[in-house]
Amino acid sequence: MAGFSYLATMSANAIVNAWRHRTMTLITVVIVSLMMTTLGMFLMVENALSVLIVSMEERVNLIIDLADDAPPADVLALRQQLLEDSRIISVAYITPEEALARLREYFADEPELMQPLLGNRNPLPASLELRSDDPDYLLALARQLAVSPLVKEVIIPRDVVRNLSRAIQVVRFFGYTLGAGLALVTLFVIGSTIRLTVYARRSEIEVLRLMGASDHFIRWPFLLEGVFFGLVGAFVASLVVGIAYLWVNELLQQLINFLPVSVDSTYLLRLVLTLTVFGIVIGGLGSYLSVRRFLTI
Amino acid sequence: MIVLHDVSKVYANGIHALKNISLEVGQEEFVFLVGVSGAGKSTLVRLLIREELPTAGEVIVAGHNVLQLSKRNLPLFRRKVSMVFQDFRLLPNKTVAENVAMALQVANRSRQEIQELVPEALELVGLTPYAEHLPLTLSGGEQQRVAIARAVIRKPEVLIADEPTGNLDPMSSADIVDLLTRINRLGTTVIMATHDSDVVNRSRRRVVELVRGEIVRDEARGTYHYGRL
Ligand SMILES: Nc1ncnc2c1ncn2[C@@H]1O[C@H](COP(=O)(O)OP(=O)(O)OP(=O)(O)O)[C@@H](O)[C@H]1O
Ligand SMILES: [Mg+2]
Repeated sequence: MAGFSYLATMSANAIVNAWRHRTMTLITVVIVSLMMTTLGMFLMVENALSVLIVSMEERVNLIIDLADDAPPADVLALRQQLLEDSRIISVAYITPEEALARLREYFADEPELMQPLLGNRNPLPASLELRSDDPDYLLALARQLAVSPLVKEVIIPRDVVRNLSRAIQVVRFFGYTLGAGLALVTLFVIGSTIRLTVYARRSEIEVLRLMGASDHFIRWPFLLEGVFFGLVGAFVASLVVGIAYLWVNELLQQLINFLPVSVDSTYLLRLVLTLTVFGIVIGGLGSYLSVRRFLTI
Repeated sequence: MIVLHDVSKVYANGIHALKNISLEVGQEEFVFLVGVSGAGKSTLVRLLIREELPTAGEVIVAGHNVLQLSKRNLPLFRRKVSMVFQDFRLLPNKTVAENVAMALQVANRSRQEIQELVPEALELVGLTPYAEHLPLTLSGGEQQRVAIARAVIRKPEVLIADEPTGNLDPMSSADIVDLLTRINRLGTTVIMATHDSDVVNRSRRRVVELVRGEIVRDEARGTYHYGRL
């Protein structure tokens, strides 16, 4: 079929072209790679913060330690009442054994700290863990429950979530601004290089034009060249960001290892895919705009 | 095949390159377009392939009124009308065969067709042994034959050559004109702009002479003496 041989020829042309202007190609590749690496890094940081915030959100907002002598029936009734409360997202009943197991896991690295606790009796009380996205309501609830005879103590963990939320908003804002800026610069760099290629090949273009080549036929190789730059940039960025990600991931795991959070193992794959698609789009668009402006047919 | 009706061309800089040209060329014809430098030969050629538009008048080539060609139909028109230049205009980084094949590729012809037609075209111009050579390793005459192979492989209705022998020695020039004559006999209208009087006088073909943008002479079996008037 004509299509395939044509595409093969055009791809070969794009590569030959890139080679013929290798200094320019190199500069473009370096700049595009830098841009895309920065972008990839930002995406990764944003993701790390998201993972962190999700893990924080999964964290209980309110812990109600139950009195040791609380009648099970009353505890069940209380749990039921909380479950029916629409402002509360979840209620978990934690037995003393579960509480101990968690503690053990938390201190897995320093078991000696556990020694004083490990007498012949488990000192930990049973508890209810509540989650809600309304901190004010939780506070009111805490005050109310504190006086209940069923309750030994109400614990309100410090509200890190809100701070993190704000942090991620800031990161996102700067990230999107930065991302848009970088995308524009990349677009411009690729566009300029393609413009030079168009200029270098103007007599060839002229010949093709007079032979009756369609606009598509003439523009394709330039678009491919742009896409090629985008792909190389994506490849380099994926490599750098991938290595950084593995490192950050380890850090993150350590930071949140006691929390019931699974770090998404497909994230890296999605990141590479995102960068690749971004590279293709930016490269294609950059050359398309350039070709539209500078390649008059 | 070609009809020019009262055609004038004024360039943006005010130069009146063609003045009220009317001309008809039949399908089986071979026409020499002669005249001194600056007479307007290339301008006329550029109107025929719609590289330039006439300022006034009508240009009809291969059934198309060039003034009415849409942007979409322009490539299709150009595939019916092939062009050969003084400076060959081959793609330097492609082999002879690839250069010739390009004429079919731009027309989206199938690989099979390309594989069939390219050797035929090279055979016609006598360059079969050079198929895999790069253009710049060939002599000027050979390069022009590659350009002609590229022009005729699509069996164009009209072949327009602007001083195809301008860079060649008399022997090669004669070869090129013989080749164009053969192509003409195979059914393609040939227009050749030239000021090479030897070539014109040997052929005894129709001669149209331009002087300062006007047709001063149109003879069925003409001759030409450069600079005469
Ligand atoms: N693109 C252009 N813009 C302005 N003036 C032009 C242009 N092309 C040609 N001319 C002018 O038009 C006139 C005719 O030029 P043209 O190239 O058609 O002559 P020609 O017969 O082909 O000459 P030659 O034998 O030197 O090729 C000349 O005066 C030339 O300077
Ligand atoms: Mg000329």
